[in-house]
Amino acid sequence: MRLLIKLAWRNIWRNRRRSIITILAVAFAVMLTVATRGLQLGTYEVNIQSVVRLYSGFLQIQRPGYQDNPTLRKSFPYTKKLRSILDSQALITGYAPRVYADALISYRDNSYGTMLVGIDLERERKISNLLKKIRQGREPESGRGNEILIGEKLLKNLNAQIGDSIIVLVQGFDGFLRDSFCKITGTFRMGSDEFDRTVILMPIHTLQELLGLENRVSVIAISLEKLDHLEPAKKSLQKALTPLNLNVLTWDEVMPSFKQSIELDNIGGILFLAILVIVVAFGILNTVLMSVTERFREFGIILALGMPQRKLVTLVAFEILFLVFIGISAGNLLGGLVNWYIIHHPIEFSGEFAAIYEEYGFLPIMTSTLKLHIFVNTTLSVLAAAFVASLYPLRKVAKLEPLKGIRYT
Amino acid sequence: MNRMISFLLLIALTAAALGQTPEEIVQRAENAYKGKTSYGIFEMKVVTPDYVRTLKMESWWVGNEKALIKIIAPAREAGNRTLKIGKDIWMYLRNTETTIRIPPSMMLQSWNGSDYTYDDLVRESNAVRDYNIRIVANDTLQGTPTWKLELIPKPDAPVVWGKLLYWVRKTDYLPARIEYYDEKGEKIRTMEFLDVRRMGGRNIPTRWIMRNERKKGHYTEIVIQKIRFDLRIPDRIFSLRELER
Repeated sequence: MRLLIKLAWRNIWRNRRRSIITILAVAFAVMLTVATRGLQLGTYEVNIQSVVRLYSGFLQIQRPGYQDNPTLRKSFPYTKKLRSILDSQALITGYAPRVYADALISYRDNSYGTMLVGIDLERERKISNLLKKIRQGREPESGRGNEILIGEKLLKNLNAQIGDSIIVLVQGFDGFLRDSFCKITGTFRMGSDEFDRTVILMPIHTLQELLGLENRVSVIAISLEKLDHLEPAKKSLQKALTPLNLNVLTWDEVMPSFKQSIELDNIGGILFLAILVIVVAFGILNTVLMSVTERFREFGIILALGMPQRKLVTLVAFEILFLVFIGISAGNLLGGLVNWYIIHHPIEFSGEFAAIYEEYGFLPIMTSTLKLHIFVNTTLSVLAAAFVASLYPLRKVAKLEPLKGIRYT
Repeated sequence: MNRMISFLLLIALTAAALGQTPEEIVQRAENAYKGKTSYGIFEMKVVTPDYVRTLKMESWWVGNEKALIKIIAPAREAGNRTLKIGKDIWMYLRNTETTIRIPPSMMLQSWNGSDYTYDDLVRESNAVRDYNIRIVANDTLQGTPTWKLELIPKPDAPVVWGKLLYWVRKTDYLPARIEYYDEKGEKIRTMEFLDVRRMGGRNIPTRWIMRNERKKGHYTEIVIQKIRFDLRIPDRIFSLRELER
């Protein structure tokens, strides 16, 4: 066996140029795969983190059925007991109750359908970036009349100024319509066009009062340290909340369309890479077949000298393995370097391109990741491709008859 | 003389036959409970699995063009008004003493929390103009023989529905039931006309139930308590200034 390995190693350097080209092809494919996967997955993760921090929370507590039909009737009391359960969960780094309600708002001749979002400002500050997005004015305060923050675009559409009072019409918890004045204390800009056009933020107590909700809330948004904690945190929290008839949803269950747009993009990327791997497989097939047929005479003589055919096949297999391994290692190394560089120097878009990204709710930024599974998956898929590609040449070697080999030209 | 009689007979027969065209039937049903003008008091009960809400309202209508609807009970919402002129709707809110114009994007939202939409108020229901109508069956509803008609919107008709099924009573040409379907053929809601009684000099259904088929247990019942047809209504009550009085 040792001899075989030594022979194989020497054999691949007998035709230096061909081997180097094969190694380079493999290395290039691996590098490209690692780099594009890194770019894709890294960008997804940044986007997910940002969207999750801004809107849904990593996890969300809801009453069953709220996700499909979000009405005030599916709200639930935000009790001390619930808070103590949340406080005792180890993986949860913070949580904030929220109330969502549809409203019709009006200022002078302009009226729009909007969504009111009641937030606990102190808690929200710890788990989300909502309040960091204030552009003008100041935060609304609880108990000082109905103070609200509205989207920059909504303010413009209403043709109102900070300090103006607008009329808000809602249907309360009891079904009655309620109308009241709310004073604009500031504006925010989240970057998402829809959000900035339709959302109004206000202290949760103000909104609960407006709707006659008492201590009920629509959802509780929960933050975790990282996305990897998602499943274990969900499991343990769900166990604690099942007796209270509450559901725990992950961010992708709360925002299925966001998840889907990511998945769609991801599938596109994977398809591209699959094609790349197939091309590489043909490259390997080509060089291996060439090197094998070229050496039929040599193989014939070795066989005639009494070398078992099985060993000859193993020898060729080792040669392929060496080439592919060197290629994969080099590719992973180079790809890793590219990813490392991008992580430290993220690609930021500006201008029109950035605007398109924002419209779809994505950050105008691309970054990468060094997650181990990218390297492992790439290595395994290239190995698999190499295995399939070498089956035919190896079969030819296995079927070779010594005399035919010697006379082969 | 003989000729004269047969001629008259022919006219009579033609008239009878005309009265039977699907378009005629629907037109008569639509006209039955709408006058040139009308004034009425009705009670609207919004029923959901979680609560029941009863509103008492007063309304003035001029054809399908203009309408003013005023809530008179309960006290919490009394004074809120809805004004419709043509395609526009304004809501006067008593608490803040303001008037809101309902934006086009909100037209399909619930009106006063009921299973009716703002669009129901605005839509000019000109069934004969907007739909191709045919009789599909003879049916018996609430013990009364009816025609069952199918209304398919004409191309380009300004209609949100994919199909209507319309039951009209054979005895008095009054509407009995309307089912609303979307483009995919899914039933969205059902309106039923019940308790035919003589009111305001006409026989009309006095209890209307609008059932939301997509939300289980949600329906809105309107009971007409008082109605008068073809009275004089001063045009000035349909104005924004009057609305805020």
